[in-house]
Amino acid sequence: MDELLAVFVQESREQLQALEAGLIALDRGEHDPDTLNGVFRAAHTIKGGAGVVECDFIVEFTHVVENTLDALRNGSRELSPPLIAALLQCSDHLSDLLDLLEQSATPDAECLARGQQRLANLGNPTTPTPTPTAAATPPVAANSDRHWHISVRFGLDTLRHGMDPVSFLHYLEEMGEIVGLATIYDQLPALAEYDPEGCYLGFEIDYASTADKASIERVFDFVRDDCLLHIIPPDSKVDDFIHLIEQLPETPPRIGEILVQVGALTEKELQQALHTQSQLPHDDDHPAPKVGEILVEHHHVPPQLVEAAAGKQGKLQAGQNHTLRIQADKLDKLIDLVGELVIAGASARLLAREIGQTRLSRVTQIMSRLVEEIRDSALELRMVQIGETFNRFHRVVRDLSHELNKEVELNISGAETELDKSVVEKISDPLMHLVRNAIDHGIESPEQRLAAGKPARGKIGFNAYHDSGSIVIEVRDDGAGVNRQKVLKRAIERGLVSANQSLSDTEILNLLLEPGFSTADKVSNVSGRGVGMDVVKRNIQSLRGRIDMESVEGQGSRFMIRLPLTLAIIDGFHVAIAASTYILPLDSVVRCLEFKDAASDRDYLDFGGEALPFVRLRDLFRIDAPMPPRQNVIVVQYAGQKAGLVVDQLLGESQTVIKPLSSMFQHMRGIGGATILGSGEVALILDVQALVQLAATRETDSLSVQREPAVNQPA
Amino acid sequence: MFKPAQDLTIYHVAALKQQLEQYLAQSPSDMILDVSAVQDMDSAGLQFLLLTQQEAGRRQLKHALHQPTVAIKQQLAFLRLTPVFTFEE
Amino acid sequence: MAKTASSSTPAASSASSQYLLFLLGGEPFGIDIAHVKEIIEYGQLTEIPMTPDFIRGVINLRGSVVPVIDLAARFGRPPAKIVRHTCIVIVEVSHGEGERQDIGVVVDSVSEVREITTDDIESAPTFGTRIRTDFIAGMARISQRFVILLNADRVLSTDEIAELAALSVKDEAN
Repeated sequence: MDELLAVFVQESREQLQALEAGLIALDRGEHDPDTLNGVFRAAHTIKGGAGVVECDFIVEFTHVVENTLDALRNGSRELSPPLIAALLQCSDHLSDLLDLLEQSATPDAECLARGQQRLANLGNPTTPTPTPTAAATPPVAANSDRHWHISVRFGLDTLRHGMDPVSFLHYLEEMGEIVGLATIYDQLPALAEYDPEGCYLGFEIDYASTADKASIERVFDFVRDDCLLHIIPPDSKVDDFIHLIEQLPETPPRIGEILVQVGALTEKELQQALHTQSQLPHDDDHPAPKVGEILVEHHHVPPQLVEAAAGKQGKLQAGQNHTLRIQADKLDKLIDLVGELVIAGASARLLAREIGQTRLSRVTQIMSRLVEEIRDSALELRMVQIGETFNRFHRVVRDLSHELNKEVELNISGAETELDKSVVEKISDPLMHLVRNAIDHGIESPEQRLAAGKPARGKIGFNAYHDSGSIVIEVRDDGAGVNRQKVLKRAIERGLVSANQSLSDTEILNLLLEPGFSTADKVSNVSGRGVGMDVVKRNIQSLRGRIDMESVEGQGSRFMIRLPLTLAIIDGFHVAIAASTYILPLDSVVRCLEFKDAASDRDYLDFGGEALPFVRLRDLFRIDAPMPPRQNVIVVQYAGQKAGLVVDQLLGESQTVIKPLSSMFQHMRGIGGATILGSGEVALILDVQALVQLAATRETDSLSVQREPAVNQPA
Repeated sequence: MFKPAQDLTIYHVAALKQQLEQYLAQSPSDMILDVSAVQDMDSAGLQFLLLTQQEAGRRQLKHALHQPTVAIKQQLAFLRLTPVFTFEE
Repeated sequence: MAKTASSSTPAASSASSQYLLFLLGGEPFGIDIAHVKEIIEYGQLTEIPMTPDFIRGVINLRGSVVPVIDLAARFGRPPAKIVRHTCIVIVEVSHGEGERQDIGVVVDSVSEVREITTDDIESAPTFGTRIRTDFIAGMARISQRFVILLNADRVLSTDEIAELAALSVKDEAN
């Protein structure tokens, strides 16, 4: 797939999200014109883009959708829930079409039929054939007095970027009528300098349309970055045109002539200006004053005003360049390289320290600090707001609550909270499980809610915020909450706990996150057959995060997901066994102790009165090297469980760039990844979760062995 | 008469430029473009057409479009460029 | 000229490939040069605990962490001894759909790169090599000796190695 097509597909997906979000907002009863305009613009942009990439099947489909939206916008049709549902289905269909385009496929007969059915559901009075003439008429007829002036000079590379300037004019015709037009080719060079693939064209356009400025601008979205575009609204003052003249590359008299030609200025207005110009002395030392200056003289406009206008223009242009779209893999490459730089910097610092050159040490220290700043900035580039992910759930909540005959609203806060793109991509699935679970098992039916003295409409809330180097995402509902007795009973039935075990409230809630657990009385196809919650837990853990749950019976539940801001770097704690270095995530380390009774064959020790199971990593890793005189225990914690890891030496903390291990190690437990040390050597990052579990199961095994004869229970 | 070997589109303009240079190297007496076979003209092609006219003016050669197809006529009309060119049937 | 000659005698136009020849436990092997990315000195290797013997460990290859395989052990023989000319051949294998992965292979020494025509390659004998037949792409006779040409994608199949590694983790746990 070529780059242009990829950009189109990606941007269209974003537009589609905006479209869907708008429809959902309308469905909730937010009937303000901005929302409807937004929905229309999204559809229009997709259609325009599809035209640019010449994808007819998307143009044709979207065209009909756009007509419906336009009818809603100008009030000739009324919004209704069935219509919104039909529009949402069209949005789904568009998403399918984009998938096809991405796979370089075209819709088959079945897909086309489905599309036709969905369009038919829109119930447009007459399904108009998507020809430009049919599209051109309605907006113009509505109010043909609104004449815009559009001035555009295309950038030299426009053609090379796969754009055809004339085609933009054809798109304009779909939203209005081009009343006057001048094709500007003053920049066309002589044959010798003529680059056949360069673009030298510009247009001055008198345009009658009811569209708003943003919609007109959007027509030029694909070339905005490298074209000179001025859109002057209807009923603008002559000043605006004078200002335009200043901005254009052609000479004022020439452009003035053109403006008269297309009907933007009258001959009289132009003559006045040119007359003033001819009376002013000018020679080579004093070039002809710009028309703006003339205007200041002529109309006695305070010069500050003109300057202010020019300044504003500058700012507007700068604003347009505020965001820059780049391919994710380029960014990943940069972050990789910066990671390398961090490692190389660390090794330089190490060397400087070794040779004892203080001045060199100081310089490398400054460099290291700078490199770390670069790394932080680079990682920041990958930070995205979580709001977009949250917003997708409006649709999920709407559809699911309809399906289950429940009334649910979704409230979002903290949408602007940022986190690493790689984390965002992986958080969608767990959130989906939690939301489905909340609607299916949490929120009661309206009747049950009313009976319980609650409002009929249930609430699901998303919230996100930063907390000490992590992002916390909360999902809460005001549903039935968890009946702990029911959970406990089920857990005993499933053999997850024994009947005489006494468990704390939190421990009981945690059972919900165990594999194969489901408390719903009836299994539905919404949240599945007991799979889900444990998968959520596993997914979150694989992101080096954790999930906690709170619940009050009758009042609702709350899940708190805590995730690292980035997956690329951790604060590491370095330890050594014999000659090898290993790294533990610092946030899992609780305390370090001297390992005293190394000779004992017990695998647990007394940690402040608690029996702490431990793992001798030297044994587990089968390292045959002489035992050092002194060993250490690192107490680590994972999801509330503690364990000790016995190592030789503690080397201290440092930031660690995580390198993925080959997929041949995918089944390996206990090792989470690798990093490269300052010395160039590879060091392994320990998977604390797996090691703690290993220690815990060993402890349970040994305890059950001890307990068995006493309790006299068969295994 | 100069007859573009291909459609006036971005895909062919580089070749057309060469063809034009070769044509001009023969010191022609006019620059009448036989566009009777041109089925498609995009922005790049339009620029080429405008260039031939500009070049003809510079060399004081007669410039005209010979038997333009509907595609060309429509495009030029849309861009309000019909008065700029001379047509001959 | 060469073109006409080959088209008139199609029999002589058989394809050929270049193979990197190396020694392993004194025995010559070959691998298609198309798979070989580079050859590096043996050194600074980090062992990975709880993995089968034939996984030697990982190395830092210009910032990437690359696994290193002991081919001898992979063939079920004793692990290769590190000798003076021991080196690591970095081989690129395909993994899954269109994904490529670099894997290091420990060899005793690298001998040469040689052009071998398909005519000179025989299919592997069904037994006698004491190496799984699917690991062998063919046998070539070079200077009176048989050279086993390896099927890199099979010998270094990450999926298979991952499964073997998983088994060994289980053994470890028991």
